[in-house]
Amino acid sequence: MDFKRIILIDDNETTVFVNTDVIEEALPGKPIITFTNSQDFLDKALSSGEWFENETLVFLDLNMPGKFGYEVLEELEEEIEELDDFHVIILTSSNLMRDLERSTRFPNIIGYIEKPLTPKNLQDALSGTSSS
Amino acid sequence: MNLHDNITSDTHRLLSRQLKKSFPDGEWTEEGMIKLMQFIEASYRNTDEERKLIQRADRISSGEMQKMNEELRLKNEFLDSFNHGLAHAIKNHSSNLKGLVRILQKYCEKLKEEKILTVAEKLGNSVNQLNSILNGFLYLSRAEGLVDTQYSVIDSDRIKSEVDIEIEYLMLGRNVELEYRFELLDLYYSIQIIRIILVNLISNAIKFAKPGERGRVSVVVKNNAETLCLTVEDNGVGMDLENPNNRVFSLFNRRNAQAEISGFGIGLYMVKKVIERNNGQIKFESELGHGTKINVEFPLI
Repeated sequence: MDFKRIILIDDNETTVFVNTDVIEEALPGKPIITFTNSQDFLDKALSSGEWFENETLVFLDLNMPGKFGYEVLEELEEEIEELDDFHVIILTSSNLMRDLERSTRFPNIIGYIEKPLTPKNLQDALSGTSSS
Repeated sequence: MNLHDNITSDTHRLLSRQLKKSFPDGEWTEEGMIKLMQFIEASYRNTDEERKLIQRADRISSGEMQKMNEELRLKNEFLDSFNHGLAHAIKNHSSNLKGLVRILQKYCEKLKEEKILTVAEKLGNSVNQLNSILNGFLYLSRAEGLVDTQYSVIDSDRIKSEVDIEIEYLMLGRNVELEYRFELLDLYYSIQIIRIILVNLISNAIKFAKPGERGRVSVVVKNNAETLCLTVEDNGVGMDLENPNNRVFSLFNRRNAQAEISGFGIGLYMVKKVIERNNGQIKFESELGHGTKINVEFPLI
């Protein structure tokens, strides 16, 4: 899929730094927008609406201060009618069954990666062969 | 003489004494009958009171036992979630470290700075080991019952890739050859269980290879309708199974105290926990200097 942009949401700055590098390597040349606060992301995303108009890939952490990953998705579903071009990969250190099961409720989630993000598990998730 | 005879003969003695007291002349009198009846009534009352006392004591102690059990259960639960939370928190940081080291290695290779590259490689190995220990802790708290096990259809590729990711760092720089053989038939089981068993057994086989010799580790995974069978065999240093000090399953017990053999000694403890929990069985065959063969079986119902 040809993504117009890539968005990275994780409250840990080092994780954002490391993951940016992995993503740059795996998907070179794509603009990467990063957030360390889920509310900042929601404010920005909802105010312009532009990100929902063409193919966007989002890496979303689950356990964040303020709004949790799934709460972010719930709010987007409430606010935005057309979310078909918004593709989400859950990126988390949790591999608890309840988190994994919850991810199946959101049609926008195309992958679930247990941290750390590596070029390999990113490629697996993008080609739909993610085993986790 | 048992307790029953004791009581009967005591009762007997008491009764005959009372009979003599009630009927001193050996003749049945009304007065004597009344005395005897009063005695019997009093005996019943006594017995009844004793029975009530015993019941009360019983209730109190079982209540206390229940309370203590509940306290223990809560403490265990707390320890479980504490371990799990702690391991998770540290793992977040060690995952970052792993990522940072990867980036460092990438740039070192461009710079062609041998010394820095060596440092980066060693850093990478340390971080991988740290991650592996943390994964162990996470598994351990899961094995103790915090998280449900997930079952699915499993093929050989899945097993191989899940296991390889966790042991690849151990293979680095070691003269060890790892060989898999699969005979799988519609296997429906938990990949977590298979992974814990294989990763730990293979890690041990690799760590305990004979120094200076080419190590060979062969892994066999097969199943039929009833049983899943995992076998890990090596040509390593082996162990003396007759030696009672060889407590291979104890927590933090390191089979071999040699400094160059890394590990925390939680691996086989974890294997044991997982086997116990899933009604499995484990068999060891080993001889000092002649390698080890470990066979684990799980019922498939």
